[in-house]
Amino acid sequence: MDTLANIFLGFSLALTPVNIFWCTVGVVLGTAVGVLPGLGTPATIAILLPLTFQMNPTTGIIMMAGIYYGSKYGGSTTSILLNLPGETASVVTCLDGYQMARQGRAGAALGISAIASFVAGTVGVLGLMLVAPPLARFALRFGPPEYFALMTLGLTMVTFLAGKSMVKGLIAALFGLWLAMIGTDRFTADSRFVFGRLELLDGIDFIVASIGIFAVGEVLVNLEEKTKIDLFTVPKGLRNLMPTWQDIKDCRFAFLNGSVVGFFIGIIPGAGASIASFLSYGLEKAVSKHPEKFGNGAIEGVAAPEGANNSETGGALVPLFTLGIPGSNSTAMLLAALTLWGLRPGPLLIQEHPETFWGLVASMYVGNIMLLILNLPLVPMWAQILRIPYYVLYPMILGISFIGVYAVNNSMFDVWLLAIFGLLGYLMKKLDFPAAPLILAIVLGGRAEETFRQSLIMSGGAMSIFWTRPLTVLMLSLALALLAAPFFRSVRQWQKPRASDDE
Amino acid sequence: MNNGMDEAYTAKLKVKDKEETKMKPVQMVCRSLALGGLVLLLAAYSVRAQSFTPTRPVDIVNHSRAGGGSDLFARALVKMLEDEKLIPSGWQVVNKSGGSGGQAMGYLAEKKGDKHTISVFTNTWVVTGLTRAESKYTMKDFTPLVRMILEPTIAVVKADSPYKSLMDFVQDAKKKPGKLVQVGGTVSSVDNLFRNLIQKQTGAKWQYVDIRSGGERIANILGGHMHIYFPQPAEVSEHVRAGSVKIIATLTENRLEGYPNVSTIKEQGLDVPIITQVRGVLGPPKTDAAVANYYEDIFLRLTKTPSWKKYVDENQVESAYLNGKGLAGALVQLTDQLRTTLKDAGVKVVR
Amino acid sequence: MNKGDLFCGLSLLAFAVYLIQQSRSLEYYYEHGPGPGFFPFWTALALLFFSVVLVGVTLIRREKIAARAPQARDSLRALGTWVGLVVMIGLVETVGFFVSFAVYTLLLVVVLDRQRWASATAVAVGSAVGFYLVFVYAFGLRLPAGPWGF
Repeated sequence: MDTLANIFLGFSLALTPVNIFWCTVGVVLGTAVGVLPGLGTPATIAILLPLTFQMNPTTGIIMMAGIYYGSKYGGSTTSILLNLPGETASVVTCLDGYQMARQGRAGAALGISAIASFVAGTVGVLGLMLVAPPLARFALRFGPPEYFALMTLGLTMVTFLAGKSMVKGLIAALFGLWLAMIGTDRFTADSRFVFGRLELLDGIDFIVASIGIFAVGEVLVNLEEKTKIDLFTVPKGLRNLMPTWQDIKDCRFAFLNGSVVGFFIGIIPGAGASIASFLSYGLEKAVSKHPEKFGNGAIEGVAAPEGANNSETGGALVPLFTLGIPGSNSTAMLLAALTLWGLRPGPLLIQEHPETFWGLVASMYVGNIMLLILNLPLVPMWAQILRIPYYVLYPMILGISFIGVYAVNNSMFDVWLLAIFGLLGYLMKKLDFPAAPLILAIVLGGRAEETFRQSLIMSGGAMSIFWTRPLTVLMLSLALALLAAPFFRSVRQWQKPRASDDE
Repeated sequence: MNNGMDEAYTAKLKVKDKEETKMKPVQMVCRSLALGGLVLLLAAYSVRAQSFTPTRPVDIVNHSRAGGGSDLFARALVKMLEDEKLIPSGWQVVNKSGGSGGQAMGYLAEKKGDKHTISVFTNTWVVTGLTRAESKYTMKDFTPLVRMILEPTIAVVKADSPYKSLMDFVQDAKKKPGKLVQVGGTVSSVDNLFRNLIQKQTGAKWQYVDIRSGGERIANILGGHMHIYFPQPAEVSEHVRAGSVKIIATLTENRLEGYPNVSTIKEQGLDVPIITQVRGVLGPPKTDAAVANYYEDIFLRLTKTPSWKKYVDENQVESAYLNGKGLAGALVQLTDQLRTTLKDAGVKVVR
Repeated sequence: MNKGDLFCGLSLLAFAVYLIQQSRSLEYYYEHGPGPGFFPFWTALALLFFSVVLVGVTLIRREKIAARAPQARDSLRALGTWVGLVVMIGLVETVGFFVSFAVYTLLLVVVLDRQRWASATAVAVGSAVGFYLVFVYAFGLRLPAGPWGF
């Protein structure tokens, strides 16, 4: 079979000492980029490009891709330990990961995150290897109405993130929607809610909002308690430093969920890793037997989104290599790198340079294994960060938040926004408003409006465009079903006697 | 900076003191000769003092994030200048994204008189100055240094589309007003401006959808969701080569070298003004003539190198060097052209 | 807690009204479909609706929820830290990030946890140096610098 020959070719290239070396460099750097806020994958790739001009392109892409998918492993570290999303895709991990850390299970959270990343990452590579061309054609079927349906599906996740009070959750989401509308309206070039500030013309960057609300807000809330030397229970004993077998068993579905959802979202250009993690989190909660644990330290709530953002990288490489279409800033940098090396990314790349593509695919297996080996033993080490006395840790968190936010646009204005969002996060915590719906709305709200209006322009104003396209109808129906799910669940729980009552 | 001149001046003073004590004829001749020599020396030092070389690594600013068009252009410039040994290594690319160029403009404006900061610019800078009231600066605030390239625009459709020329599309649009869809960048980008110019010329009307990223725009064309797209050639060259899209016109004055078989918009009978995307380099306000000369010179020399020719070929752009004065004139023309076209397109123009 | 909710609900109500007003100034519908004012208007309206619900629910349930009296003193620490953060950010453009951050950390540690000046200074300088080494030296990020170059 053709694929078999290609796989063989790929491994013969990936396992050369040179390529193994640069793969290691890439994944280690990627992990560092993921752990540290302020360092983004696109910028890191840009800085390291000159280094690669002496290399052969296969080696170059192996290293750069290593940075790309490696960063998804590291992103969960600060999310879990400090409630500070290191990467845009790691925001969802903060929800349950940080709660697990507060309960003394930081090690388990970090560990399951590494394992889920490995499983899903590998599935992603498998997908890239086996089904890339037909899936690429599938991805092309997504026009604005389909994107709108996808965004709507994502927004229904609000019902899963609202927690105790649905009203407050919805208010938070609506506020987030408003925040998403700040900026230049792309259709008419009007400015909306910019208060005359040039810096707001591009809207509010969601990483500024999430670091502000989550990290800074959390620090401020924690500072309230007067005697809190040992705020975090440092995990003691191997049991809490690593996920147990029971934990891994519990996460079986989460691994599957993360892998599949992440990969499919990845192949849709421009959808983004965040929506993959939100959707997979929501799905996990929807099918869980104990949904009330989500938001309070459910380990599946860490495994699912972490897996999703890893297999998303495999998915994102599909349009990149089969069509030359980059789906995100990171893949756009990879495209630029491929161009600078003289390869010509486009529909003919795989045919003309099979060694580059297959070498990369094979090296991704190797890379994922290396990352698992690298990250798992580091878990107890990372967990020790929680030993740091809070009066050292908190200023550091504030400092890292500053740096992380400033680095986005090299703009002090963003840092001022950070302070405002920090205060907002604090107030929200005090008043019991859930932050996750707000963040979700900022991520998706803008695109939801955009794609809605784009669809109507396409159809000349006819709403029928939303119910005459099969994919759109499918996703919108799914969204409706998910919205209705909580009602069914409560009805069912009321009607059926609990299984435990019978035993 | 002006060390040469200071030293010469001091030296001249010292020598002058010694000379004053002697007054015999032979000494007068010697004195004149010495004075003359000193004057020449002084003149030579002055000239050298007028010329400038950077004393620390230069920052080259751009208005996109890492990986964006302007960022890649800036990086390519730096790489080529280094490869051709026109500059020492160490020049930094500084990203100041945000505000449609406004952030970069603001940053450059604050570097008044700074000899070691320059910035790449595109039409976006002009457009932002014209349309955004929130922008404190316009192109007039900066020192034009060089224009480097002009990027042409082309019209592409899906490979199996029934349109063989842009005229075909326009005529079909006339038959189905408001039904066909063009995909492109923001409403103030070249794509939409061309659309408005053609619509005005021909009376045809078709929709315009702005999609954020170039990749997604091509995906929409390939997926059949939109009918036509006006990109720059480099964005779609691979797809053309693979045969998944075809070019049905070039929106230029003359045919493009890379696609000699594709007719221009004018050849097809659509006589609209041609707008091109410009890329060049600006200096901060109040840049010295000596400093400007330095930059104009190295970029001029760059355009004669093989690296540059390779870049121009691979990216299918037009090498269009203009020095500072030339660029200033071209910018005035471009601003006027854009102002009129934007207004016609219904975009609010504030300056 | 319910007092907080009430206050919150009312503020949100006011905010929603303001938003509705602002959205009116934007085009609601234009030739190509919903204009820039469409979504903000409906979002603001929904916000208005839910704030009313919030206020309503709070008023109805007042007897059932025991009011947890918020301690002003607790919030003082948090808000004080926040004010300090704002001041720190304000100083960054003049003295540079590292100095501003170090001073802020110093004060935080001394005031918040009553540590000795010596250990506070160690923490402040240590973190600042650590950040410099990791972000500026190793990864080449540019952070706002003061007149002393860092």
